[in-house]
Amino acid sequence: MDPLLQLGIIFAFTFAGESLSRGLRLPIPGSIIAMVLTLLALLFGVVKERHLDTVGDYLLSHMTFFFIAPGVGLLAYTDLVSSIWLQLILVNLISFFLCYISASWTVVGVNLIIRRFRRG
Amino acid sequence: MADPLFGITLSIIAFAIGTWVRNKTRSALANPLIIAMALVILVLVIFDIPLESYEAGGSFISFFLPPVTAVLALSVYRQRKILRAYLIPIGAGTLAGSIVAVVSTIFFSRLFGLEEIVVRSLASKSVTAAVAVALTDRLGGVPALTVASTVITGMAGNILAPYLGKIFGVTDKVANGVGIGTSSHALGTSKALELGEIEGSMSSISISFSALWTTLILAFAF
Repeated sequence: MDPLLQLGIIFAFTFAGESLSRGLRLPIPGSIIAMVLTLLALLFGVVKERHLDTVGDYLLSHMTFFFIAPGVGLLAYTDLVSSIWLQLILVNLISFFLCYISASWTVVGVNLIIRRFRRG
Repeated sequence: MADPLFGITLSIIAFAIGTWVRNKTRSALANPLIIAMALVILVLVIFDIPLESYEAGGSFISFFLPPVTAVLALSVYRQRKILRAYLIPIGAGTLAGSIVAVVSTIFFSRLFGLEEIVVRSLASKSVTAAVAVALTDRLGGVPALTVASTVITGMAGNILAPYLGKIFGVTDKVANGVGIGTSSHALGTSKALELGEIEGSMSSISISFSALWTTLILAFAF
């Protein structure tokens, strides 16, 4: 489908998500509601992959580019960052390891339970 | 008012250089986003350009973050078959990982004496940056700190992914993939894809699952 029209569809879903989040004062960001709406529309066949794929894949493959602007915002917090950078890195690493351990071992445990359940 | 074209052009050039360096070195430490951010900051500091002049263009770039988040639906949709086969282990693993990530981040941030605004900026940092930044916006944190933290966490996953299974005794490929994707989103996943097909697809599905769980956790925790 024409990429301009695809962009229009993606913007429409985004707008719907943002409006719902704001209008209903939901504690969930509009962009995430937009993602859920888009997923539901795909699952129920309201939109097809070909209505989104050219522009969607382009955006997804260039995703990191869009974080340059918020990232450069660090410049406004140089004093803060220079005083806490070590704590920042430590918190990130500790929670990274704990997250990996809990997620992977939960899968191992759940698989064990499922297997026993199927055998029993 | 500054011309938005300045910030947009500078960002595109900086990202192109970052991508080029990554392709040349093939190192996880040469992250294109970090390089691009550093280059833009360097240019602004060296030529004494106010941040506002950059942000006139930067806001055009940030404008695309919500639509980028929306199209994440495409990647979830494409994985629906494998998702159906492993729904319960993936759902449980990503839920446990997301809870532990949020709780441990908040706990250790407070333990290390970080200010409340920093804690709010880090709470969501384990998930993919598009969702993490949106969550930080809602919590009233600093999106820039969130971006930096998601990249640090992602780089840890990218570098350590091949060893995590051995270190923590995880031999199951599904478990290893879910662990990598939940803890280090897309950056870890790019390494999981090199480990094997199952690790890669599990890690990839876990990105969106943990993003949704984390959204729900933070919606009710704060």
